[in-house]
Order: sequence, then C-alpha cells, then structure tokens
Amino acid sequence: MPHLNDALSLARWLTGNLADGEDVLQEAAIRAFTAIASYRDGSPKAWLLAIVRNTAFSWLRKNRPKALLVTDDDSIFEQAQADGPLSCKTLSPEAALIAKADAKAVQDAIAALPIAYREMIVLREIDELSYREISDVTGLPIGTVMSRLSRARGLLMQRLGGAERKKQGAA
Amino acid sequence: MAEATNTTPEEAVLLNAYLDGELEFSARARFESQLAIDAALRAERDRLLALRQALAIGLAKDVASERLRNRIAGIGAPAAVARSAFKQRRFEWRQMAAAVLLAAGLSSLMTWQLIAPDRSAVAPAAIVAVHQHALLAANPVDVVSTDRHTVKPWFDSHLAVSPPVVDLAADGFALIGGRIDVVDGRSVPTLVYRHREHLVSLVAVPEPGGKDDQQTVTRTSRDGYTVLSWRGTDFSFSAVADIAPADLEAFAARLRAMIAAG
Repeated sequence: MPHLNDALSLARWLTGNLADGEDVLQEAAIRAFTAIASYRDGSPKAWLLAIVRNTAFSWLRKNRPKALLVTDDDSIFEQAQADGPLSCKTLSPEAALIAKADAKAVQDAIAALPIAYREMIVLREIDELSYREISDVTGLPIGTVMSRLSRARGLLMQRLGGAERKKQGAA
Repeated sequence: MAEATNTTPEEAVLLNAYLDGELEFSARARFESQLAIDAALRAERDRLLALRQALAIGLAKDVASERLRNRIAGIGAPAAVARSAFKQRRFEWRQMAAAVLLAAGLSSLMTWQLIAPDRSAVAPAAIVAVHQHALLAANPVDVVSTDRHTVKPWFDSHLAVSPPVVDLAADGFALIGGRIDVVDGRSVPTLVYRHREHLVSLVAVPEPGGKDDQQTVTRTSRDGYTVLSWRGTDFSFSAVADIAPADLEAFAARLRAMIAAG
C-alpha cells in the first residue's frame, strides 16, 4: 500500500506533526472516496496527493493560519541569500558537512522551511514524484516547480552546511 | 554574481533538473559539457549530491500505523457510500481504474466494496495478507489436527463460532488444522489444508443469517495468489493459495458440495 504512506508523509510534513497529519489524512480519505468521479486520468498517486494537499491547506488555514503567511518565494529566497550567501563557498568542507548531517538536523531543516518549499522537498524526496506530477499536485506551472525545488534544496544546503556561522557577505 | 564561484539561480535549476533525471537527452548532453568546464557548477553538484545523501539517511517515509490503516479502512467500510456512488453515476473505465488503485492504496478492504459492494465484504488483498502472514509464521496453524472433530470444537471454544469443517484428503487436500486470523479487525476462523507442498487457507468470516449463494464464486489473483470467495450459510468463505487456479476451484467446488451435503 505505497500511496497511504506517501499520503501520510505529505500530510505530516505539511501540518508539522504526525498526529495532525493522521487527522488530515483521514479527512482526505473521506474526500477522496466521495470524489472518485472527479478522477480523469494521469497518475492516481498524484491525484490522491493533490487531495491530501488541499485538505492539509484547508486544515492549516483553520488551525495554523500563520504557517501559510509566508509563501512569496522570491522574497524568502532573497532574504535567505542575505542571511547566508550561496556564493563565497568553501565547498568541499561544506559538502562534507551537508553529507554528514544527522537525521535530526535534516528534519529540523525541513521543518524550518517555508511551506511552499517544504512541500517541494516532500513531494520530490519522499513521495518521489516527477516534476510533471508535482505540477499536477500543486497546480503550479512546471517552471515554478523547478525553481522552488532548486531553492528549497539551496536553503537546506545552506542550513546544513553551516552557512549560519559564515557570514562573509553576499556581494 | 561576477565571482567565478557563483552559480546563478538559473544554473541551479538546470543542475537540479539534471540530477533529478528531468532533462531531455539533448539538454542533458549540453549541460554535461558545461559541467565539464565549470568548476563552480561541479562544486554545486557535489553539495546537491551531499544533500541527497543526507536526505536519504535523515528523511524516511512515514509508515501508517495499523490503527490508522484500520480507521481509514473504516471510512470506506460503510458500503452504502460505495453503493450509492455506483448507482448514481456512470463511471468511465479510467475512473474505475483510479478507484481500484486508490482503494488499494488507502484500504485494501475498500477495493472489494467498490467493485462488488453486494457480495462478500472481505477484500481479497486482506485474505492474501493473512495467508502470507501465516506462511511466514513459525507455524501456519494454531491447532494442529487432521481430525475435523478436534478443529471444530477448538474454534467453538476460542471464537464462539463454529464454521463447517470438512476433510478433503481424498481429493488431495488434507486438513492440517486451523488458526485464528484477524480480517478487517475481526477475529475469524481459518482452516488450513495441504495440497502437495502448498498450503490452502480457507477463511470463514461469520455472517449470521447469510444465505448460501450457490451461483457466485468470485476469483481474484493477487501477488501470485488466487483467491476464491463465495457466500455460504452463515459464513463468507475465501480460499487462498498459490496453486493453479483450476486446482483451487476444484477444491472450492468439492468443499461446497461436502458442506451442502452436511
């Protein structure tokens, strides 16, 4: 039953914890069962995950409105660049730091991502969707999917690579 | 951005797409030649590969608990939902396929109810699962006995139900015992037969008041197992084994005849 775990992972990471993720998944299951007629074609997994995502966002609007406040990717990315430049890299040691990041650090880094980036990481890295499928799930153009995913990974690498303590300026 | 070590956002997007296997052949070839001459790009690639490694270790897919699976199975369980949906709407085959896949993903129990809401309430996948589980267990039976007069009272004392027990040794299916399976959250009696080197599980889900439906035997295949399901008096039966479907059908036919004969 691969889809159930995929769906649960998405719900858990969007809501922020497993218990809320389970509630969202149950609600999504109800919606899915009553909305089967809306399925046309394409990947059934993407169809299901789209329902989970919509349910999660409804849940967040109601229960965690603050989690949805920041979704403008450009401003976040620029802010992130100012905080810890992608340039000025001492690359090999940094790559080593990233690779050695432990599970807790990885999960904290993902949890700290704005939701627009976090969902990209989950859909790609956990649910293993193609760009096309991510576009279907989120309703975003594929170009936006690509740039958000790239930025999401950039933010994770900064955080895990210890960019915090190397503020040599972005200019 | 003038620094030689910089990677532009556009380059980063291409690099990500390249590593994700999302570039088409010609774009891929172009990108690889750029990668060969651009040290900064290679360094960024190394960071991304390092991230990939960290994610592979630190980011596991959540696994739904048994409790959650059952709760979600319960969402589909009111067969009325599936039944009314099927009466009201005409489904294209693609929607039907989606329904099947969705149900397989969410709840194996639901699959069966979407396809055949009026027949047996037990999903073939659940039957296969308990059978597979029994094959993996140290012992596929809880009570070892070739004597049906031992097996039947054993169920009676453990489950307070008493499924019909017949021995089909003469037909090549020797009764070897019984066990208790949990199907759809219910404890149900299962009889185990041996056919050559294979085991056959006969799951008897109690359905008090159920009428024998002589006409309908449903055959399903899953993961190399064949499942035959039919409705008998007070029980819904499902036989599962990895033997030739024709052999399993012979088993089921003989079994039904014996049960009907009392």
